[in-house]
Amino acid sequence: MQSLNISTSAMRGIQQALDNTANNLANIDTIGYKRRVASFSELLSDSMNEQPAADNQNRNTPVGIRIGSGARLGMTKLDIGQGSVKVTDVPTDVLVEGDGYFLVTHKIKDATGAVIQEENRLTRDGSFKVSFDDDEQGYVLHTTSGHILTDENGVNIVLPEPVTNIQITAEGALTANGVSYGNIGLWKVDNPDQLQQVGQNLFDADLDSGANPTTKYTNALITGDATLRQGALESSNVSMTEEMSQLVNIQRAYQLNSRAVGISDQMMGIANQLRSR
Amino acid sequence: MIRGLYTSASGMLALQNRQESLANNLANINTPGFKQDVGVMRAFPEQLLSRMNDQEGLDVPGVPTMPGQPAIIGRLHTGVYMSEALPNFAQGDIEETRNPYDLALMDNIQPDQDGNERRLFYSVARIEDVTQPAQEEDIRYTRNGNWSVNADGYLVTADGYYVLDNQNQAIRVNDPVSGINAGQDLKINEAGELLYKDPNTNEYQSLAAHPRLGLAVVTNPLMLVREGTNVFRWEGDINVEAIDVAEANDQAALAAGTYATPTIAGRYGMQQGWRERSNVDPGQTMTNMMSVLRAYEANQRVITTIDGTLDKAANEIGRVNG
Repeated sequence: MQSLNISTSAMRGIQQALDNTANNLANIDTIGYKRRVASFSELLSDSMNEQPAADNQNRNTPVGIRIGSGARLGMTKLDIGQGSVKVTDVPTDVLVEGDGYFLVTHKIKDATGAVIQEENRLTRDGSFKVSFDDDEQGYVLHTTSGHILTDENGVNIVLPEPVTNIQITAEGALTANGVSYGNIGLWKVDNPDQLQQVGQNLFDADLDSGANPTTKYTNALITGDATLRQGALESSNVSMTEEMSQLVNIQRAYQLNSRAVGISDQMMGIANQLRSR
Repeated sequence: MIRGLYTSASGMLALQNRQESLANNLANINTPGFKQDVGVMRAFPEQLLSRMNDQEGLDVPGVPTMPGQPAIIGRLHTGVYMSEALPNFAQGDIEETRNPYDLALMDNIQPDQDGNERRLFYSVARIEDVTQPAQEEDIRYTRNGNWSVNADGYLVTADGYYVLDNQNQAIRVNDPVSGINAGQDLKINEAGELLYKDPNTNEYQSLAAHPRLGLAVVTNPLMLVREGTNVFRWEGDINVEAIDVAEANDQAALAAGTYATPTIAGRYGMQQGWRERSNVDPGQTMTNMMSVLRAYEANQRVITTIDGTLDKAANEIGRVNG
């Protein structure tokens, strides 16, 4: 009976949507997290010719009856809406206001310690820490995942000494004790739908190892699409009420489809009882 | 008696089709722009019954008994089948997504003078060469306004169809060649015009290559073939007209004084950042399913009863010392 498959396909999709909602809710306190929105899609539809050949009168639709085959989860789309501001007053916390991403890099080494590749990642998470980095022989601003913040040319920002009194202007100029250490790069992504989430609050920047980000992205600080704010962080853009109502919605959809499975099963049971006397 | 057996069996088969149709509606309860199918049940073609070996009987109105012919009892339908699944094109409710690439289409276009329903659809297509306009046979119609932008910067549906403009061209919103990057600042107004924000002046300008979204007025949309994946295909006689052509024709007819039944009698609009939900009514679908279940059960009971009667005929009649 096809209806069992129809309902099961929908239930599978709903389960995935539930996973997505659960992930959004799990990251409700993750700095710079962008929620994903699940969207369903119809599966193929079949036209069957089960009618008597003479049936050609008073039809409103093309010949045959249509039997659909259910639904699936079509896509989960990134919602890049701005999260709310969380003021921390930590000087190395930077909030992006507007449309832009930090570019952070991380060196991947082989067993001998030689650098084989450099990962380029984009992030909205501006909670940087300053610590000493062996490769750069200096102090760097890095994310919690260990990726190093880069400047407007995609080069790691290195501070020669454990500086104090770090100042970051709205335009990205980084100074410490009055000495300039370059400008932070903030990159505008034209097509955020194509951003690939790689975990740890990072998106794949889709840049070759060591490539200059200006070959692919424009600097949002220069175009004025975004500004920076020191001493604040961007909360995730997950809204509790929205996720909860989505949860209710998909739970009910799951229940309805499982009822449909139940009813189809009962019908099969009834057909089975035809010869039970 | 035997006839009844097959009648009930056909009933069970038809109800099973109905259940599949209802299950598919329920499965798509969260599919944007989905239109529910309503199964139409129809009796088998009727036949006339006549009494064997008996020429005496009442005349059936319209079918008089002929002398020397068996007496006619009356008409009988020997079963039921599901003849078609009628899509219900009622507007689904709309929900806010705040996504710039989501577009809810609303219309209340009136039926034409013959009473044929008219509905608005977006036109979409799978195109091999995106620089060329879509061929007519590739164009599909959909109400699903839940779009995204693919790796090349074209506006696409979740199933990979390109969204078309009124020249049947795929819409490119991120174009590194011409340097126009509408991106997230893409704006689609109520009339379907595509606008982008000029980075120099910060004012909205028309996306020159794509004047308007490819909206189509479909007269008698019931004749559309449902292809699945949220799209409909037109075949044959139904009338599909681009909305800007229809509007221009209406205005020309108005100016010429030949304004009989306008194509766009009614209003339509688009709401960006919203999407149309499926129009499946869960309560009604569930109730229908339960009544299908009970009807199925009743048909099974009829079969079992007839089988009991046959049992008597086969095993009890004529038995000695039973």
